[in-house]
Amino acid sequence: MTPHFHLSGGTVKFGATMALRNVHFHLDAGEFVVLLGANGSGKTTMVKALLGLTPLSKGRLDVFGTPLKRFRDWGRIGYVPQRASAASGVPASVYEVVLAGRLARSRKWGPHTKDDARAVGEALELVDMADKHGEPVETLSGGQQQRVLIARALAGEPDVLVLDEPVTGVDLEHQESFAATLGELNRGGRSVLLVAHALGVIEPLVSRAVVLTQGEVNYDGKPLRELHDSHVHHHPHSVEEPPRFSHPAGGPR
Amino acid sequence: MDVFANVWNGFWNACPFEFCRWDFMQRALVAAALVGVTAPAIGIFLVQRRLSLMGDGIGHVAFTGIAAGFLFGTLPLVTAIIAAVLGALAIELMRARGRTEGDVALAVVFYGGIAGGALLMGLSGTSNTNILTYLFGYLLSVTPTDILAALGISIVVLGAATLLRRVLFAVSYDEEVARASGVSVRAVNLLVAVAAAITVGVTMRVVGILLVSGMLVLPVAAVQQVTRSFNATFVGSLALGLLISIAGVVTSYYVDAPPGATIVMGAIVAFVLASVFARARAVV
Repeated sequence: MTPHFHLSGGTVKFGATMALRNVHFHLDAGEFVVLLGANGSGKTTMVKALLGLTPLSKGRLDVFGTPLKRFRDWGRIGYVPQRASAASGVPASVYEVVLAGRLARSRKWGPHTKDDARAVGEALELVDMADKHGEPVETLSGGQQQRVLIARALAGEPDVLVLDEPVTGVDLEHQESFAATLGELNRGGRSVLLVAHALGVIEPLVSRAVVLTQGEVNYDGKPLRELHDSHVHHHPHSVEEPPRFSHPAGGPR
Repeated sequence: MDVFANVWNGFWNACPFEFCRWDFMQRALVAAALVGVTAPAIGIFLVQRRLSLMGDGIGHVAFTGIAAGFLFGTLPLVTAIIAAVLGALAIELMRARGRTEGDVALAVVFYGGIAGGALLMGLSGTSNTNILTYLFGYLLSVTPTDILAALGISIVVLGAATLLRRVLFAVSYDEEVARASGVSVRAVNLLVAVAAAITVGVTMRVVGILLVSGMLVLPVAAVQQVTRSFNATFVGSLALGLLISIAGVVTSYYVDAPPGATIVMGAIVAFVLASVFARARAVV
């Protein structure tokens, strides 16, 4: 099987800062990989590099077996960014936001098709938000908004879901229901790449954990229990952070 | 053209009001209606991206274009639209590069546009009254050519905004996710910038350079306070734009006020009423 993502020697520089150094990473079909690391360790940079949003200064990236430059089948990837905290000026309904996730799979002009409507309906069912489809997203709770963003990623019927700290600022109860949803999606055959602060409630679902420290991979393997106690103990240079899957203070990073 | 003339005359003859008898009012009403419905169709994407003042920046650059038209003896509307397109592209590129903050980029364009315009106007020896008509609009002297230009631009901009609405929405709602869906975000942003520029070009005919952004943004700002979805806001702000434009021209006829200012004041009144309504609804 071709890996969904295959990054070798990935390096990203922002000016003089090395955000990612010589990173080797792969994500295979059906895997559930969690990407751990302290603030500023390069998790988000790595995810953005995998999606082609941040250019690599060195290294090679294949997406579904195709070099990134020639990759066009974006519908196969569902991306859930860190919470879209800056609500836009104009109201948008849940349905409209989720429909936007359908673009990679459908024509770009004109009204949406029946097939788009079906996929949006199914995505909303999966995250249990079908009854809220007409609500403006701005009026929903943090947890509900997060589920809308996941539904948006699912509307493209992706083979891999990439989620960047999706439960930041979401309470424990919703984290558990979110973990259940992710587990279901993974068992349904989708691979998952999840960025998190620490394992927390998703631990039973995870097949592999990758730990980043200052832009370098320093662990890639079984999700060990000690990752709960945070990798920061092993690396005194890292920023101290509460080793939690959730971050009580919330707020985007 | 006879058919068109018949329809035109028939329409105005059927109109029961006195102001419909005047040629200048007929042209003013049509031009205002076209602009009123077109400006919010592009303005909504600027509001959504928190670039409400971009229209203003473009308008200021258009002022330099008008002055260049006077200096070189060409049609000011054409040079205005060329300058507006260049200004819009400059703002968009500065913004996308991320080197300059959006508001600093706008400031450079604002003052550059006005200074350039004043400079060229001075060099060409244009009279002050002539300058004023461009700053505050000159709806009552709209020519048939202006109307045809407004009609063409309205069809293009409304057509693009409607057909590409899903892509435009996706990009202005979440640029990053749109990129990760394979949408060429840069192309879309440049398209919006150019569409905004040509819209500003015709809109300034009606309300003047200093009020141009009001036509793009205020109907959207008013309607979004009471709507619950993007589509409803889109349709509602086009309808409100049309309504205030016609109401503004008619009001200005009876009270003998400048139509551009009257239209924009109407938009402000609509904005205030919508705010009050939204507050009241939240309390009840």
